[in-house]
Amino acid sequence: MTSRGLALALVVAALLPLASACADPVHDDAVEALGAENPNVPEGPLHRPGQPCLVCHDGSGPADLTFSFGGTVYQTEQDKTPMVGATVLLTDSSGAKQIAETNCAGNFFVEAVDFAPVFPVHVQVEFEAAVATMRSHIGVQGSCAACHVGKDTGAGVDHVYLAQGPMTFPPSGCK
Amino acid sequence: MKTALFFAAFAIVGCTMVNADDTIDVRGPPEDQFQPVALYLVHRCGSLDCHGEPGRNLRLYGQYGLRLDRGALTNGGPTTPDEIEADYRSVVALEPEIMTEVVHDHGKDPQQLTFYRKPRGLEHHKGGTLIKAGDPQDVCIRSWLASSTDVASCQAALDTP
Repeated sequence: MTSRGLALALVVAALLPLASACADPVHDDAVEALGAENPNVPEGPLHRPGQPCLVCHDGSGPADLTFSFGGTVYQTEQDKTPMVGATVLLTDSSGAKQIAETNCAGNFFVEAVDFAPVFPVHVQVEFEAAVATMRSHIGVQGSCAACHVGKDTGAGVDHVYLAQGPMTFPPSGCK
Repeated sequence: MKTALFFAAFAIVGCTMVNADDTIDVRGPPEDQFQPVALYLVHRCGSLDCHGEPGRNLRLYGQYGLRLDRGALTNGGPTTPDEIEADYRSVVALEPEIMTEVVHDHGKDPQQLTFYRKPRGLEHHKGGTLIKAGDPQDVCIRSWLASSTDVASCQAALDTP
């Protein structure tokens, strides 16, 4: 090895521990646990419905956009059909409000640059005359699906839904 | 060789010094005055993304978060007496020696307790500063630590946004 090669190797060896020190294995594991993308859905506002958005969108990557809130709203308690066109109203403890609308996948998100709430935050989902108010508040977590994982998983919290009973919903699904 | 023997002896002593059956005496604030405090704490701090998460050192059970009965649902019913008892143990046992001191001094210096410092913003708290000096939440907690729970303040604290 030439002296130049040796110097380069030493620099690389010195930088390696620094690189590993910056990694967050907990975050990396959480991202990996989300699994692969659905090949039929492009990365973007319609992808990964029902997953905890801020795992990737919390500013730590790998997503570029940073959210303060994000989630998926379904039509009813019994039916996990995406709720399209619902309004999600977020109100923080200072009274500041932010509105988002669910898209054809039922997804909504709020970018951190648009809303940096003072926790706790209260949430209401509305569509026409139907209003669903979250009974407890959000303390720190911006991903709905961090807690709302569904009763079918054995957890005590169902997915986010608008109506307990039947009602007429707009056509669901993305074209 | 001598060094190895020294460390081996040190390790053996280290393993035998602690008796698994040892206990310490803890003096907490009155448990019979804790119910209104618990209802406030569960409401304000016990959501699933905060102290209703099982991994927290200060773990709270109750209506708005983690349930003691695994079959019970979040928001599925009011906080139970068993949950209030578990919450009492959780709060008192967080820093038992310091809690004993604070109670012994009639709650004069609650800032010794991490349980108090964090929501007051006197120490980093992921949930931010939630309590201001003298507000109903503050009075509720301090009065309980002084063994004279101000029930009206605890009830007023439930209305904190």
